[in-house]
Amino acid sequence: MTNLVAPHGSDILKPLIIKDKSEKDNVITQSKKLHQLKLNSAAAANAVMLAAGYFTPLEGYMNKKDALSVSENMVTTMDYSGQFPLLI
Amino acid sequence: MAIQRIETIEKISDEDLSLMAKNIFGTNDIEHPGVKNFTSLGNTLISGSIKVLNYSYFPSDFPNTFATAEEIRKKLSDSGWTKVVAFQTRNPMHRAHEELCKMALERLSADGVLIHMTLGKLKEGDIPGDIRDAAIRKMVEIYFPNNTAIISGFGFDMLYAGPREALLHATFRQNCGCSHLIVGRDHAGVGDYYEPFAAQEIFDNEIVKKSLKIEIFAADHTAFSKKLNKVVMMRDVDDHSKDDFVLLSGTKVREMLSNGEDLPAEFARKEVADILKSYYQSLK
Repeated sequence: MTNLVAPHGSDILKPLIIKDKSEKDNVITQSKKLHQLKLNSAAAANAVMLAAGYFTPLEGYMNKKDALSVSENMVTTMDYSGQFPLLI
Repeated sequence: MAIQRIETIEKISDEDLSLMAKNIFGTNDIEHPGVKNFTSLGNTLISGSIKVLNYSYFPSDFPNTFATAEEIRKKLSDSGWTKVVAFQTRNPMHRAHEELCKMALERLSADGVLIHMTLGKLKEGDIPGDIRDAAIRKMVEIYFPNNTAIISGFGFDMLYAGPREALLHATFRQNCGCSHLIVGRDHAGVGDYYEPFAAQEIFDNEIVKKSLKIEIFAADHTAFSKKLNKVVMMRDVDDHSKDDFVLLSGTKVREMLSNGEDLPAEFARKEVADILKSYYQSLK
């Protein structure tokens, strides 16, 4: 590997895609018992971005405190992803 | 398509959303398309980590173009590149963009340019992703030296958040392995909401400098100069007036191509224009 710039906020990329087949199957089984939310296409595209490691080091969605803080102070400079509300 | 481990479910007030909008977009004016969208998403925040099952329609719809951050890193590394400048585009690339990429490559002494397209749902007047992709690939094939440009894409809609969005775009490309991002005039802007170079100046912010490793290549508009007979960056030519450049509006370009006309060679490469021309004619 050549010396490319390191990912943001982490030494390694953090893609959130499930690569392991049996883990994937487990999740699919589990999910049948869980509450399901339908996302709009922008939210789904964001989930794909999270899956693909573009949002490293984020591992999911922020709570209100972090979202407000990041929008105000750019605490991690991943400020924009602070507004990641998943909506009901 | 994804499973979430819920940590908290919170209500967020309209006031807090408006405050966030002001901080992120620099305005809470509901006429700003980004603000309008942001404040229309509801009042519930669900926080927590997620794991994702698939990449949705992107791999099937854009098989040669969509790539994950990991895949891009591998491509850059396999090409032997270390210093990489990223160029983001949602439009086809004409000579002004081609030259901008080459200027960045040269001035940064970079190993290569990552041309990173935005894919995704189309808006009014957009050219489909596969047509843009073909046009950009043709340009690289003919007009870029071997092994100096890689084309890829991802799905991320424009938020029109100007400087803050430029930071986000830069973060994405750092995660892909790029050392630089080309940021021009009014990057990710809309209307008059942002000062022309605010999206470049934000990278001088102390917090940003401490955390982001990627740097920007601060650019201005580029266009073909009739005086110098080549594409130049506007800020490099103080003595030029608007009439010294070959400039065509998007509307004019669309109109000419739909009518089967050739674009001026100073503005567009023929091979690129031909691809777009046949698309527009197919719409008739």
